[in-house]
Amino acid sequence: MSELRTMLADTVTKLFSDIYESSCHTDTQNSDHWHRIESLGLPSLMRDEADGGFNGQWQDAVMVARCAGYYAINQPLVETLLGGYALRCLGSSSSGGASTVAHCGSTDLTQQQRGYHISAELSDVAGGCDLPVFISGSFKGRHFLAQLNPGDACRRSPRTNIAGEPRCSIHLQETPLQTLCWLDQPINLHNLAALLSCAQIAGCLQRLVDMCVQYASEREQFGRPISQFQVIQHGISQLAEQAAAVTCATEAAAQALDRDGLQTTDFEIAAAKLRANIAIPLATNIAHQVHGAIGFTEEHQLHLFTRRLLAWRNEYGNNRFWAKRLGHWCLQHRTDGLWQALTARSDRHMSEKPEALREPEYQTS
Amino acid sequence: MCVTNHLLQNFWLLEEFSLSTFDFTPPQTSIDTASLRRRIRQFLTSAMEDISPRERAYSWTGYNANFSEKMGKDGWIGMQWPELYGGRNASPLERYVVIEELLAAGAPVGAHWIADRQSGTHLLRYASDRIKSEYLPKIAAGELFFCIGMSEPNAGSDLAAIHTHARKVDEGWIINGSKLWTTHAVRSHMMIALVRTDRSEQRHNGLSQFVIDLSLPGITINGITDQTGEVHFGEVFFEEVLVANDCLLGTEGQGWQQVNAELALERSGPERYLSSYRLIEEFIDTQTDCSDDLNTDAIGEWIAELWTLRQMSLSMAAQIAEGKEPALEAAIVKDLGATFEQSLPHSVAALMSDDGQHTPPSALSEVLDYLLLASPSFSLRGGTREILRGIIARGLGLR
Repeated sequence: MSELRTMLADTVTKLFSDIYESSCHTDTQNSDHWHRIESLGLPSLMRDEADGGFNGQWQDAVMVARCAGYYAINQPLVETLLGGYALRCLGSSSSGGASTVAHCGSTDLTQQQRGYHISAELSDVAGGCDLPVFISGSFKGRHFLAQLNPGDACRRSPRTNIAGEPRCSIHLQETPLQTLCWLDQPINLHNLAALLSCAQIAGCLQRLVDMCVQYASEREQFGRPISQFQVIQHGISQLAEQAAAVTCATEAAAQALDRDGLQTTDFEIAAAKLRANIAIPLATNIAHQVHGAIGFTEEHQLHLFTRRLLAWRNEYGNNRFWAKRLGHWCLQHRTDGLWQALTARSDRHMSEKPEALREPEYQTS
Repeated sequence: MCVTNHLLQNFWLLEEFSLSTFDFTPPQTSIDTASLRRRIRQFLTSAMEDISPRERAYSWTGYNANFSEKMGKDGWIGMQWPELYGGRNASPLERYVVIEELLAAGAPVGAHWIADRQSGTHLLRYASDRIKSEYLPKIAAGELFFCIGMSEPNAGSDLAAIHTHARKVDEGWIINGSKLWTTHAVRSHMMIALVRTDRSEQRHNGLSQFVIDLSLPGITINGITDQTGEVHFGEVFFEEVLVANDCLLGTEGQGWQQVNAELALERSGPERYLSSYRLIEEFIDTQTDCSDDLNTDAIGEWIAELWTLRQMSLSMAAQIAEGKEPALEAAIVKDLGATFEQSLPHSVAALMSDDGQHTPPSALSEVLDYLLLASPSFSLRGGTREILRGIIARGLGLR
């Protein structure tokens, strides 16, 4: 890890653990937490330095999201961080508060005198219904990035996911857009959000490992700590394996993204999110089994992590969503050789001549 | 406000950042993998013309001395060793590229696999100059095959319970005892064995490693047929077997520590998740661009797992290249890898089309039949699942 990233990690860890402690033990208002996160500049991590940002890499964003997952940060930080990236892509220097992102595969745009009107369905957008939404999408083969402001005319239906996090479904019907920017290269905010979701999942899984290790070492039954029972040890080992796999897949995808850019890393992100989804049932089951009845109570903090994991498994692409894409990718490369296609992906990282090995990217709709 | 400046002002000196107990940093090294892959693929295209689907499914347990000799002639064995001993000073990552190509193609590399993967490297580190000069070039030529003598009738997972014993005499050491479940015992020339040299010591102490020529007087070897019908492993009896002084590897009494250093090599390689890989290739061969959802989704899930395991295993290779011994992470790769390669035959079996008609044997069904029977061994060999999870639990501070 670079020196700067290590420093960022230390700072973020300190802040988030403070926030976690204070939200567990006091009635500190959410707005105070958001203020502390903002005053550190974290939401602007991916923005240009000229606009007060960090000009961060995706590996930095993944690190912050892992920490956010580990400390169950109940703020729209990851979403705003992605919104900041969208602002950077839009070339905007406007100072923004909290925001969120969405992607729409099929959109209807009409050009009016004063700009574009959009019709689309955005389901379960992260964050509350009062946030500005950056929307990526395509229309007639061209890619765009747009900004939807809280006051814009549309129907918003709020709900909470099973972790109690606010989600908002937005029905856009001929909604006028103040900002719409056509892009030369497509940006898929859903895929980027999926990567940061993997990172949050990785952080959450690591928290489950640490909680299980601690609880099993303290809780005594049959006259000894339950950590001394082999069946408990092996369960926690399996949980740790899952955490390690998800972390590794996520870090590898972030590294690929930083090296090769957005256009060629759909595969790595798909593999990471699907792997993360696969880990969740096993990991949450083990964590609950180790904690016994106390871990099933509202009072205990375990559900802060297990409920989020169960909710995130179905957000930014469930198993079926990504499995279908990866499966099609494999079938498309069947004739020229699946193995050849797989190795070419990592050879471009390892090889001294990365350009020579590039291949056309598969299309996600 | 600039985050960078803010960070500098607010930098708390904490313990080193670690949200994870384990290190799986992706490799950062730059090597010219493309041309290396081209060369090994060229070699494989011609050398594997006559290899049947079933033999490909044997993968790294498939014994084929002719094939090993061809590989040796072309310089693909012991490639990370010094030229003096028949190697070509390749980096561990270059070797990684070559062996994953061999495994993906289903090359029958079993005869020389153990010698190339760990015995040779172990000799390089612990053996006398005489032993190194005599054996390493022959290994690299694909002519000398090794097996590993660890398990015994009463020492399986509990390796420290071994009884085979070496006693010091003027001319060298006299070995008595037996080894069991030794892979390719019948067809190997040499064994690196873990034996007890000091009976007054308990458990992990008083153990030493020896390199033993299996043609010596006093050695009896019997093959054991496994449930796939192959004579994959065997038993080896030692009766007053005299070996020279310099057949003791490393330091007397340090056998346990030496074996553990070897295990990072043994447990983190691509063979720990690619044993069933032929099945994916054969399955995909039977598919069309518009395969049904069930098949497509299944392939997608396998590839997500495979890709992740490959990243983890590559990270191990990079760490080993840096001189680290990531034994704990290697245990994770092996347990996850074995679970994956063990589940694949069952997933494929569940997806095979079944319209009540008799289907003639195909390449896919041949590979599947073999792997269904072979896969229980994947979580037994090279450290059982239970041993690995115990190692991980210790790493987590639970034991």
